[in-house]
Amino acid sequence: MAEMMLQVAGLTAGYGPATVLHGLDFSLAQGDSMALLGRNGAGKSTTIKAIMGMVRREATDLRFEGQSLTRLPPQKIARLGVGYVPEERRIFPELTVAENLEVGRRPARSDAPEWPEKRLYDLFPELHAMRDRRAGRMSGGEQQMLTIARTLAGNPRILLLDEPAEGLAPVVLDRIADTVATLRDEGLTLLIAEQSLGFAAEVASRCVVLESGQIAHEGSMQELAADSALRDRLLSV
Amino acid sequence: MGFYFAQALTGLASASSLFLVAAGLSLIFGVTRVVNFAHGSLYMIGAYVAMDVIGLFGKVPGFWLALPVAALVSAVVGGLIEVTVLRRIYRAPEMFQLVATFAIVLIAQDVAEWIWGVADRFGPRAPGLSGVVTIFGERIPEYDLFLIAMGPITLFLLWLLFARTRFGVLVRAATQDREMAAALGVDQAKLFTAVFCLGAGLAGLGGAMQVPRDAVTLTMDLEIIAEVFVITVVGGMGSIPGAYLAAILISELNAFGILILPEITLIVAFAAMAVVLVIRPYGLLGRPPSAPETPPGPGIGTLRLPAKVWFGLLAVMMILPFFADDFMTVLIIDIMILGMFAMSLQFLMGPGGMVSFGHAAYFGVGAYGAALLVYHLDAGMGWALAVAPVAAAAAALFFGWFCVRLSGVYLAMLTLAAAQIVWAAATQMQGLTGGDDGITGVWPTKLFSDGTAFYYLALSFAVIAVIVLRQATRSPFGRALTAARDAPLRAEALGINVQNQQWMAFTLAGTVAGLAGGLYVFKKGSVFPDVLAIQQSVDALIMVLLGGVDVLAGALIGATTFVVLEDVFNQFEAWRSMLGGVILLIAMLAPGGMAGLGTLIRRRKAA
Amino acid sequence: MSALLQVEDLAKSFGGVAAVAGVGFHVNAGERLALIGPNGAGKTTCFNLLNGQLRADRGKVVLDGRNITGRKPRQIVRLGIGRTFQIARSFLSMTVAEAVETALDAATRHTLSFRRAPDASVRIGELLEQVGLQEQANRSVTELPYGDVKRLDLAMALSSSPRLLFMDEPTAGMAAADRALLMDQVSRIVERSGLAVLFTEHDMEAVFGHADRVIVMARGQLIAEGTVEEIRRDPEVRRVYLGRTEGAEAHG
Repeated sequence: MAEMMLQVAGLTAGYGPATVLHGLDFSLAQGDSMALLGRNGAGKSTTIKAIMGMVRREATDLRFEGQSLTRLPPQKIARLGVGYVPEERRIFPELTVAENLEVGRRPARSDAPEWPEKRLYDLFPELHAMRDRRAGRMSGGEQQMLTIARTLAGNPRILLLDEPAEGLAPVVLDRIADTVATLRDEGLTLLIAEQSLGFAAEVASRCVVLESGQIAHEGSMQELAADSALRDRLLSV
Repeated sequence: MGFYFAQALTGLASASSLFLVAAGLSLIFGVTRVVNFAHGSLYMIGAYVAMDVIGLFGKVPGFWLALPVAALVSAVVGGLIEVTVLRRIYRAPEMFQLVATFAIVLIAQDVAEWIWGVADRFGPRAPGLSGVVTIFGERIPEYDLFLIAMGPITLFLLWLLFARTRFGVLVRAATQDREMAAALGVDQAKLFTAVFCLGAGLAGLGGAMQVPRDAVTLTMDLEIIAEVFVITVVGGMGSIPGAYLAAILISELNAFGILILPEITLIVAFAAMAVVLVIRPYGLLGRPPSAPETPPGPGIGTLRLPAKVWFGLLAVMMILPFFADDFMTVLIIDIMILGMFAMSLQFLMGPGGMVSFGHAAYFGVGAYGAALLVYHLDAGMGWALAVAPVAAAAAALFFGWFCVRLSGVYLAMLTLAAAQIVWAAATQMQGLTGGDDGITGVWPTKLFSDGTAFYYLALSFAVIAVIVLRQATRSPFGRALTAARDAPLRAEALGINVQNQQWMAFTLAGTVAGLAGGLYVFKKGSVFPDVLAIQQSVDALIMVLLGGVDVLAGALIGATTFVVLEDVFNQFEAWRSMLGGVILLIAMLAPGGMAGLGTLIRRRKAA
Repeated sequence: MSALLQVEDLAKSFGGVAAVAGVGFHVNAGERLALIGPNGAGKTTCFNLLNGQLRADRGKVVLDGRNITGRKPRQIVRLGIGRTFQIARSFLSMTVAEAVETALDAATRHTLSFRRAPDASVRIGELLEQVGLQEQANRSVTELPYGDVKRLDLAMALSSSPRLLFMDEPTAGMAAADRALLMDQVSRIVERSGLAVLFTEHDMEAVFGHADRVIVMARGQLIAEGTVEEIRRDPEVRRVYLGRTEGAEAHG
C-alpha cells in the first residue's frame, strides 16, 4: 500500500480531565479532500487540534509523510508543511493584514507550491485593498480570508481547516467555498472540520462523521448527501 | 515658575532610565509571561560594565563606548539566564518563576561583589555634557537634557523595531496569541531568547545611562526593581508606550512629591498606582490577559499534619530548654519567630493561593509598632505585643484591599510595591523611626529577659499561631478560601465573595506576621528598616518553598532548614549564591518543597 | 400565567458583532427547557448573560417577578438560581464531602466562620445521594473520573436548594453510557423537588429524552420553540443544522 500523507490511528484527546476523542482511525492520501462532520461537541475541532499538537493527546500512530507527530510541538508540525486554519479565525487583531501574512510566511519548499504575496492577493483581492488595516477592524468574512491566506503564506502541503464556514454570511460562505474548492483542484490536500453539510459537500470528496468522539460513519461525500435518512440520523436534530 | 519648570525637567530626566528598564521588563513579560526579578541585576551589571569601560578607555571615548558595550554585555548575560534557567521553568507556576529569578538576583549580587568589590563607585560626568544651561533662570545640567531626549528616542527606535521588522512583527504576534504563532511555525524558543536579550540589553543601557547621575552600588538592583514594578503595573504589563507614560508620571510625581512630602515620596507613587489600578485594573495602556491565567496554587492537595504529631512536637519543644545550651535556645527562638512569619505566608500562599513578595511589610509593621510604642510612649512589653498584630492587621487591611483586586504576578508585584512603601517610610521618617539607625533598646520586661523564659513566651505565641492558622485552614473560612483558589468561577457561582474572602485571609496572614514581628523586636532589642526589605520578604518565601507550600508544618520545616542553612552558609563568602543555588534547585527539581517531596515519593511508590 | 424566569429582548454584542440579538423566552416552574443550536449561535453568551457573568447591552431578566438583570453571579445564586459548568473545574484539593460542605457553607453565608456547621453531614449525605456519589464521599476530587466530577458539580449547585438550575452542556466530555445516567439523575431530581432546569446540550439523545420543551437559537436569535416533536419537524431548524441542504441534494 502506498504511504499515506496523513495517518491517524487510535487517536485519543481531550482537555484537562475531559476526554473528547475516544480512539479515531483515518488517513488521507496526497490530494485527498476529507470533511470531518458531526454535531457540535462531537470532536471535530479537537481532532484538528490533536493533529496539530495543541491539546492533550495520545495515539497509537500519528504520522505526516512518514514522520511521527506524537512528540512534536505545534511549531515543528507547522514547519513540516501542515497548515492550520483555526476555528474562530484567531487573526492577530492588533497587526495589520500584511503583518498577519508576514507571521505566516515560511521559506519556500520544493515539495509544495509556493505562495508569494502576489499570489495570495490574487486569490483574495479584497485583502490587497486593506493591506495596512488592523485585522481586528475587519469583518468576519474578511478575517476568514485573512486566516486562510496567512496559513497559505507558509506554503503548506496539507491544509487543516477548522470550521471555516462558522458564523459567515451566505455570500461570503460561497466565496470561501469556491476558494477552498480551487485550492483542492490545484492539488492541495484538505482536512476540513465542518458543521455545515452544504459547505462540506462543495469542498470535500470524502467524509468522516463523528459522534461523541468516535467515528459513526465513513464514506464518500456524495453518498452522505444523497442518503437523507443517514444524514438525518447523523447530523440533524 | 522657573523652579517648577526645572523640577519638571529633573523628573523627565529620571524617567528615561526607568523607562528603559521597565520597557525591557514589560517586553519580556509580554512574550514569555515571566516577571523577571533579575531585571534589576541586569541594570546593575550595565552600570558596572559602563564604569569598567570608562576606566579602560578614559572619559573620551570611554563614556560613549560604555553605553553600547553595557547594553551588549547585559544582553548576553540575559540570554545566558534565559537559556540556562528560564527555559526550564516556563511551565512552572508563577511563584516558582518569580522565586527562581530572585535566586538569580542573589547569585548576581555575589558575582558582582566578587568582580567589582563592595565599594560604591562614582562615575564621571558625561564628556561634552558636563555643563549646565540656563532656562527660565534655572541651571539645568546638560546631561539631563540628553537623558530627556533618550526617552523618546528609545521609544521611537523600539517602535521602528516592532513596526518595521519581521522580528518585531513576530514578537507582537506572540504577545497577542502565543499558541497561534506557534501553530504557524514561529519558533518560540528562539523568539523568547531574542526577546530576553533585547529586554536585558535595555536594562543594561538604562544602568549605563545612570552612571553620571548616581553612584554605582551593589544595592541598586533591588532599589530599582520596586520602582520598575510600579511603573509596569501602572503602564500596563506588556505595553511599551504604557511604560513610558507611567515612567514619566511616576518620575514627575516623585519630583514634585518631594516638595510636598519630602520624607515619603514613594507614598505619592503608591497613591498614584492605587488610583490607576482602581480605575484601570490592567494599567493605563494594558489589556486584560487574553487567556485565563493559571491558578498560582500548586494544586497537589492540602496535606495536614494530624493533631497527634503537633502534640508530640509540642512536648519535645516543652522539654527542649532543659537539654539545649544558650546558643541552641537562641537559635530555636529564631526558628520559632521566623516559623510564625513563614506560616502566615504559607496560609496566604497555600490555602489562599496568593503569592506575596512583600509579606515583610506586616512583620515589619508589627515590629515597628511594638518598638515605637515602647520608644515613644514608654509602653510596657504587654501593650507592645498586643499592638504589634493590631498594627499589622491595619496595614494588611489597607494594602490588602488593593492587592486582592489583582491576581497572580500582578498581585505579587503589588505586594512588593506595598512593602517598599512601608520600607521607604521607615527609612525616611527619621523623626519617628530613627531612619537607618533604627530603634534600639527595646528590651523585654525583667520576667522575660531570661533566655528560657523568653523561649516559653515565644513557644506559647507559636502555639497560638499554629492553632489559629490550622483552625483557619480547616474551617469554613479556609475551605471557602481554598475553593476560591482552586476554581474561582465555581466559587463565585456558589455565592462566595472571592475578593472578600481573599481580603480577610490577607489580613489574617498579616496579623500573624505582625505578632511574629513584635516578638522579634524584643528578642533582638532593636529594629531596623531591613525587617521591611525585599530580602526579608523573600526569606519567608524561601522558607515556605523549602518546606513545601501545601502544609502549614512545611513552613516550620522550612524555617528550621533556612536558619540552619544560613548559619552554615554564613561562614562562606558566597553564601548568597549558595542560597540562590538551593532555591533554583528546588524550583526546578522539587516544586513541592521538602514536605512535597515526601508526597511525591509516596505517589511514585503507589503508582 | 406567570413564568418562573422571564427573559425579554436580551442582547449582547462583542466589538460590533451581535452574539445575542434580542432573545426572549420563559422557563416555567418545574420544567426542563433545552436550549440548542449550532456552534456560534450564541448559546454560551446567552447563558453567561443569565447567570451574571456578562452584562447585557439591553433586555431584562426577571426571576419570579423580581428583576435580576445586571446582578453579579454570587447575588443571582442567592436569589435561587444554581448553575453547573460546561468544563467542571472542581475544588481539586478537597474530598468530595468537603467540596459539598463548602458549597453548603456558601449557601448559608457561613464562609467567614472559623467553626464548622454542626448539622452539615446529614445534608451532605442527601446531596451526594441525589447524584449517586455517596460511596465516593471521602475520595479526593482529583481521583474522580470526569463523569463524577460533573456529578459533584451538580451536587454543589443543588446545595443552595435553587428553584432554577442552569446547566451548560451537562454531558460534555462524558462517555455515552454515563451521559444517559447523569440525565436520568437530573430528571429524577426535577421530579422529586420541582426544580426547573434550563440546559444547553449538543447530545440530541439527552435533549430528546429529557427536555419538556426546546428552544432553538441560530445567529444570536431564537428561531424555534416547541415540544421535542415540533422541533424535530421544523424545517428552519433542519436548515440551520444541516446547512445548505439544497446544495447537498444537488450533488446526490
